[in-house]
Amino acid sequence: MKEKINWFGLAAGIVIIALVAVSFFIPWWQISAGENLVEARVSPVNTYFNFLGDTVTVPLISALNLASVLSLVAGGLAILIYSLTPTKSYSKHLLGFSYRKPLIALLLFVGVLFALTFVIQSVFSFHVPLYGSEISTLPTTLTNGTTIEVSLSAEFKWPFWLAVMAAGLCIATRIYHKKANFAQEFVSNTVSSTKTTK
Amino acid sequence: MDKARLLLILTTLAIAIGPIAGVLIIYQDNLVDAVVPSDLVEAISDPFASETPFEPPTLVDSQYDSTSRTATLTFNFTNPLNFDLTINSMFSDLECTIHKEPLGNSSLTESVSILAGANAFLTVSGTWTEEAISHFQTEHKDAKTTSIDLVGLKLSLKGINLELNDRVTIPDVPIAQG
Repeated sequence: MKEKINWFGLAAGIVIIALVAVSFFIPWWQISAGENLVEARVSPVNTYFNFLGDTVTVPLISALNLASVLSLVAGGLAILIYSLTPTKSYSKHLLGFSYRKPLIALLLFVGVLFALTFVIQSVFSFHVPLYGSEISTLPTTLTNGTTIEVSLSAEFKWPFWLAVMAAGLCIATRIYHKKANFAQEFVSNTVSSTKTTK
Repeated sequence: MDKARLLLILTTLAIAIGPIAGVLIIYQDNLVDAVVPSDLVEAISDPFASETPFEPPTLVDSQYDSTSRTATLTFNFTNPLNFDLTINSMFSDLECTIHKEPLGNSSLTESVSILAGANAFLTVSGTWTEEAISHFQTEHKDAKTTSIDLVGLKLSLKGINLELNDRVTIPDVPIAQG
């Protein structure tokens, strides 16, 4: 029997592995205040904070980054294996394990960004843009009456859109799995091989 | 349960819980440090992380051009921060410290870059108004210098604009007597 390939899955697996590799060096989103006085470069796999020349590492965020790396790599490998053997008995489990991971990472990442900016706005009355440049004024209660205006610049970098593409390919993989009846093929092949054996 | 499915479930749990559990175990004596590290708190509360304390600028030289009524003051300033600083512009109104009389305004003659912990000279020029000259002649008749306040000091540096509400007093500023 000619082994079929889920090409969407193959593409998704390659994109996910490439995404993880790229995300170590290029963030999904970055923001800077002033002329890089304060800078944050974030992605689910790597986070960099610079505050007035000091690099700050938050251990819990590092742990979450590690969990994201392991999750995405495991998902990428699983969907690659699935894509090459979509009619095997274990394949549907591999697909179920892997196809949601980029989407969950993306949704959590965007959710956390929105939540953080909302909290900063609510607690400190300081607006942080998610995209573009603007000048924000620090609340005078924090600055001993001195008026401080800070130019903020934020942008989503291209790995973020690569993550969107990976999530889209994974969903396409799942849809194609159902449409191409790969599971049904496994059942048919199992039944026919059982008849042959008898 | 299918072995493959069980293995994948265990893998998911290990990936999700393992790193976080590791951090919690490492920081079990001080869990706050795992979320808000002490070096971040220090950086926010005290940006003067270098060993250089903050000192106000020191007046080292002054010149006066009676034709244009312009005083040029040179200050020596030490950057107390642990990163390089560029002062792009500085502007303020000038008032007599004693009598609160408006005297004119001042500005930085050119932008200045100061390395972390290093010194640099800031040259500020201020133009006295006609009213300022009269004030010096009447209220500071025989004085050669007086204390001047910088009011509403506006600074622009590294993408940040500051406007101080407090007055900054500069002692012993040479004044014009006509």
